Amino acid sequence: MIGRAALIVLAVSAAPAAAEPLRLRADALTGTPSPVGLLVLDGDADASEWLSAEGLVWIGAGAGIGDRADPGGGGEGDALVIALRARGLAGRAEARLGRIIVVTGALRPLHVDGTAARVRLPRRIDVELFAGIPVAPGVAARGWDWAVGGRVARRIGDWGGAGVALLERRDRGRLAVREVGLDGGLAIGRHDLAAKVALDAIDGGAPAPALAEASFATRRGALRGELYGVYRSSAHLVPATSLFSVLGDVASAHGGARASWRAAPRLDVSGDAGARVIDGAAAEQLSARATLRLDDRGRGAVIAELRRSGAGAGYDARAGAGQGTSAPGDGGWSGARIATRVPAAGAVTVSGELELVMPDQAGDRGAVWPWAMAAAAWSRGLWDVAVAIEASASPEERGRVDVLGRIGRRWEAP
Amino acid sequence: MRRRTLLRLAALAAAVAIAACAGVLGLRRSGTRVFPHRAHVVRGISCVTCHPGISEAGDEGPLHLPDQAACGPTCHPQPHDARPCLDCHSEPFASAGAADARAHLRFEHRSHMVVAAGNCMRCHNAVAEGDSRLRPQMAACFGCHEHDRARDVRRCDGCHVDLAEEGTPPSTHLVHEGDFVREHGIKAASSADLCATCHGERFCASCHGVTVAPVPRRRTLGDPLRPSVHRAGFRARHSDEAHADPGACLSCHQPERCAGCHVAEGVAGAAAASPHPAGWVGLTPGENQHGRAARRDPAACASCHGGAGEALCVGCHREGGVGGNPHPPGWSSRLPRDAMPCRLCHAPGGP
Repeated sequence: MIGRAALIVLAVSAAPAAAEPLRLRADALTGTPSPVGLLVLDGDADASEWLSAEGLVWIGAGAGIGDRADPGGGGEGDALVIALRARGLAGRAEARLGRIIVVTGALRPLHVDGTAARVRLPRRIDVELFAGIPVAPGVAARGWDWAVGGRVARRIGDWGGAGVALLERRDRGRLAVREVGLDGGLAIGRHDLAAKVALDAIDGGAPAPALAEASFATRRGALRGELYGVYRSSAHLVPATSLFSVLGDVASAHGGARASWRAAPRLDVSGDAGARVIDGAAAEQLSARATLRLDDRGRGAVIAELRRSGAGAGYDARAGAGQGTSAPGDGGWSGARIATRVPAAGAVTVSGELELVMPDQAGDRGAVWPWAMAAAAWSRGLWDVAVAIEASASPEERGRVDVLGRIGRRWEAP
Repeated sequence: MRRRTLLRLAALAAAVAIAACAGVLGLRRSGTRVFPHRAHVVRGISCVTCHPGISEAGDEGPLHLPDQAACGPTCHPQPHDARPCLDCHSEPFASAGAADARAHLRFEHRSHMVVAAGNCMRCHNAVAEGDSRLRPQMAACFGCHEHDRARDVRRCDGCHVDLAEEGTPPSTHLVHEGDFVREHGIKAASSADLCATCHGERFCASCHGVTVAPVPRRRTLGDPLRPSVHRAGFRARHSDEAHADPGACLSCHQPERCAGCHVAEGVAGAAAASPHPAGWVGLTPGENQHGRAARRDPAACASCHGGAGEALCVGCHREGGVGGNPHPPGWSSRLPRDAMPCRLCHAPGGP
């Protein structure tokens, strides 16, 4: 039904002698161990210079297809996007209608059935407005009834902009979220600076920061460096109508530096060193990565990556899995990953990926959680086919092997 | 002395390794080579000698790349090889790049040749610097073409036929470098409309959508190089990642998203066994870990006990209950008592 609706929307919008083609894509996925199927329909069309549409729907069937599947082996399906986009006033006004993602300044992205509009006013001032009801996945209850908000922003030359946004969500008529967002970005020469802050303003007092991020990046030749920081208050991110919003404000702060370097025309290396502080306890966050392209266009490449994530004192990883004791511990983990993609004969590409994760506290969850996938893909013209074998061991399953397959086809109608 | 010797040996080993891997690293070219445009220009050979018909070329038709007939009779009458010259004397993706440009750009040489008065280097100005940078960068277009208005309204279709379909990442602006999975959010905050010039609604929704298909990563099987927050064995480690970074999941997902999966997987809900250890809930502080854990990461609690599951907390923590006051010291709120969630524990009109 949902898929049919999306196709009708696309067909209607594409009907009047479209300047651009109607594009459709279908992907069918299947796999083991139990009969699993996933059909994804993906399309877009430009009906005219001022009207376009896009849609993406999926239908899944069988046990084990994913996280929300019916364990009994039933099916489910949903629409991810069904959207109409209209432009006018020589590009100075734009409106979207349907099932859309609303990204408005520093506010968290919202998936709504609703509408969003943007108007570009003189003096480089932009005004955005949106309203909608929340999209709810198949088995989850709707958390809030509707949301409304907007943003006013001012572009600064060709090199930056700043804006202020407001969001209100209602839950059964009551205010569940009132969030104020401040955002700004500058790109001057080889320097980039960006920051955003989302403030929880529901309580009428001074707004409390729920989420704040800042980043400064600079580049010189083949070298790029970045300093970043993230502040997050979990209690201010849950809706104010939730009981879990009244437990206080234990925020986490994460800061670090990252450097990347094109060491050779085909070799990039990067490193990230940071720390996270939660409830007064600090934990390291480290990663290093090397990417070697096997040809000038990067069709083939090898990636090697190391990561270290400490959780600091106060968290017992085993507790979450049911094997913990009452003693506080450290839930950190270390991991290594290697992945490669190599063009083989003709239109065939082979790829492989291996990840090893070692938790600091294994308990009986296993000392190493390996995950590996080997795949071969073939693409020619409008068709592409891929098969893969995936093997893993995790705290939930001692060992698991799946075989996956995907066949995709594109259509273009003039 | 011994240390210095070791350092010298290490340096030598590194040099040998780099030399041995020079081809792989792209430091040394092998096989095909860049076409020596500069050498031809220096010899005074006109561009149209090798690219006949380019002056009249429109937005469609052949690419006007030289073939044997263009290279052979007068200049290279005795080729050393029977294969087409461009099979070796051209970068492997040069022809493909020209075909991409033809397919995705609204451009014709014909009208430009008039303005440039036959001087190709007015646009192909990098020929003087090297042979591998022939295609003019976008900045070269702006030397003549007014672009401010198009940029102002984020309309690129004056030149680009369809950026989303084109799929060519920009090389000089909006470069997605660094850890872009982490960085993209902060950049999209102040310029989401700029992102939308290339990325459709579906691109954002494929991660941020509440109704995203359960196995999106597997849809791209065969491409392990594609960046993703939820890549590889994420399912095995997601619990540890979520606990180590409280609220990280809620940066994108609603709490119901976690709860929906946990109920479906039997981790939460009426049928699920308690995953908590002994001492999680008790009457003394020593055997009462859940309070501290909840304060540290309330989102983690909500991922299973959200919505109707909050009744579990209310049972003990309601006003006068055995669980005591869950608020931190100094807690205050301006919400009325009959507002959610106050009314779950407090009687209306009470103190």
